[in-house]
Amino acid sequence: MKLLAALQTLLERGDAFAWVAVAIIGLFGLVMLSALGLFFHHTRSALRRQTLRKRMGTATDLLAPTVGHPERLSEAMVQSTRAVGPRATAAVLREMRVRITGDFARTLSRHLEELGEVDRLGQLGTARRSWLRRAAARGLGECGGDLARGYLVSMLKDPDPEVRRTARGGLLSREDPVGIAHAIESYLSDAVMHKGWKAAFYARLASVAPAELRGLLTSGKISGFEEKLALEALGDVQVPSEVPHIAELAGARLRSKDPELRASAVRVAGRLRLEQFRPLILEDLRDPVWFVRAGAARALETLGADASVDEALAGCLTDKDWWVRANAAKTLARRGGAGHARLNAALESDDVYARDAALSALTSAGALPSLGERLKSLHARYPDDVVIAALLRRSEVASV
Amino acid sequence: MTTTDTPPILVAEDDATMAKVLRELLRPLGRSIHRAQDGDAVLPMARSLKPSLLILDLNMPKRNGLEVLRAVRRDPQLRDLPVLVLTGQGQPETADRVRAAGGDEFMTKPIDLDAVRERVKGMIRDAVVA
Repeated sequence: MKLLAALQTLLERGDAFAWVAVAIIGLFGLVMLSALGLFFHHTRSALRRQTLRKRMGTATDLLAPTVGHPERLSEAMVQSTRAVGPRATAAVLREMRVRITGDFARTLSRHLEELGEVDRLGQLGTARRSWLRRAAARGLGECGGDLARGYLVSMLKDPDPEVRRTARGGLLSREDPVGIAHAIESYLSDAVMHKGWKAAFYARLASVAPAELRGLLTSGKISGFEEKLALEALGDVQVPSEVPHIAELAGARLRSKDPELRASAVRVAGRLRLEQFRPLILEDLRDPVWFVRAGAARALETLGADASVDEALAGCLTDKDWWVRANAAKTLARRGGAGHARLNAALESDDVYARDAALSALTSAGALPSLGERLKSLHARYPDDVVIAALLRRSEVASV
Repeated sequence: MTTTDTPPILVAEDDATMAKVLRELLRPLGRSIHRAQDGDAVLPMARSLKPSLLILDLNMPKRNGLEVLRAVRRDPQLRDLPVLVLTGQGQPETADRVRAAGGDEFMTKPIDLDAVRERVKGMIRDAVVA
C-alpha cells in the first residue's frame, strides 16, 4: 500500500520514473493474467480429455462384444448412450470402423448415421475455424457411408487446402467407388498441393482402388512427376490380380523418353518380381542416365539365380557413377553365393572403385569370413586405398 | 466362452481398440485370449502361456514386431509357434521382411473380420495337425 501511495505521489508530480514503473507493473499484470488464463484452459481441456477417455473405455467395453454380431449392436448402442452419452459412443464406433472392413464396417456406418454423429460432424464442417473443419472431415472419413460422403464432397470446395486434402482422404475408401471418383476429380482440379500430399494421395489411392489409379494413369490426365508418383504407388500394390496390369504399365514406360519415368518403371518392374522383365532391366544397366542404371541394379535383386544377371552386375562395379557401383555391389551381396563369389573376385581387381564397392557391400552383409585378416592383406597390397584403410581401422576398433 | 485346457491365443497389440476387436472376434473359438501391450512383454508371456498362436502387430512400443518375431524364431521354446502378423503397412518390402523374419501369415489393417477369423482357424488347425 505504501508503495502504491508513493507511486501515486510521483505520478502526480509527473515523474518519468513513475510512468515507467506503472507500465512495467501493468505489463507484469497482463502476463500473469494470460498465464492464469492459459493454465485454466489447459486444465479444463485435460480434464475433458480425461473424462472422454474414461467414457470411451466404458463404451468400448459395451460395444466391442458386438464385433461380428451386428444383431447385438443396436442394443449395445442404447446401453452405451445411456451410460456415457452419444459423443463417447460415436467416438468408439468410429474407432472400431476405421480398423475393419466389410459388412460389419458398413453396419457401423449406418449406426453412426442413426446416432446423429454424421450430421453433427457435417455441421462442424461449416465452422468458421479451419482446424474444426479439418477435424470434421477426418471424423466424417472415419464414419463412412453415403451421408458422410455427401458432406465430404461439399467440403472439397473448402477454401483451406488442408481441409480439402482431409476430405479427399476421407472419400478414399475401398468400398465407395463414387467417393473415390469425387476424390480423384478434386485432386486433379486442386492447384494448391505439396509434393508429400501428392505422394500420399497416390499411395492411398493405390491401396484402396488400384484399378481406378490404373485408369487415371492411362487416361492421359496426368504426366511427368504425377505419372511417376502414380506408377511408383502402383508398384506397392500387393494384389495378385493387379500384377499383370501393373506389369503392362511399367513395361510400357521402361523405354520412356523421360529418364525419371524410366527409373520409376524399372523400380516397379523389380518389385513385381517377374522374370519377363529380366532382359529389359539388364538393358537398363547401360542407360545413359545414372539414376536409371542405379535403379536397374537394385531391381535385379528380386530376380532369381542367373549367371547373366550376376555378370552384368559385376560389370557395373566399374561404372563411372558411385551410386550405380554401390547398388550393384549391394544387389550382388543380397543374391547370396554366386553374388558373393563375384564380389570376392572384385576384391582382387586393380580397379579401385570395383574393389571398394565390393568390399563395402561384403562387409555390410557380414559375408566376409575372417574379415580382419582379409582387410590386413588387402591393405598391405593397396596401401593407398582409403576405403580399405577406414574399414580396417573400424574392424580394429571393434575388436578392441 | 473360454476354456482353460486348450492353449490360449496371444495378441500382441498396443492399440486398445484393435485388441478388443480381435478379442471379441476370436472369442467364439473357445480359447482364452491374452494381450501383450508392448514388444517387451511378448516373449515372457509367450514362454509362460505357451499359446497356440501369436497375433503380432508390427508397430509396437519398446520393441517392434519384426524384432519380436526374430526373437521368437531364435527361442528354442517358441520357434515353432505360428505367428500371424498384422500391419498397417502394405508395401511388398514389409511382407518380404516379415517372411524373412519367420512370419507364417501376413495381413494388413484395416482387417476383414471374416478373413482374419478364417485365417486364425486355419493356423490353429494346421498347428494341431503338425
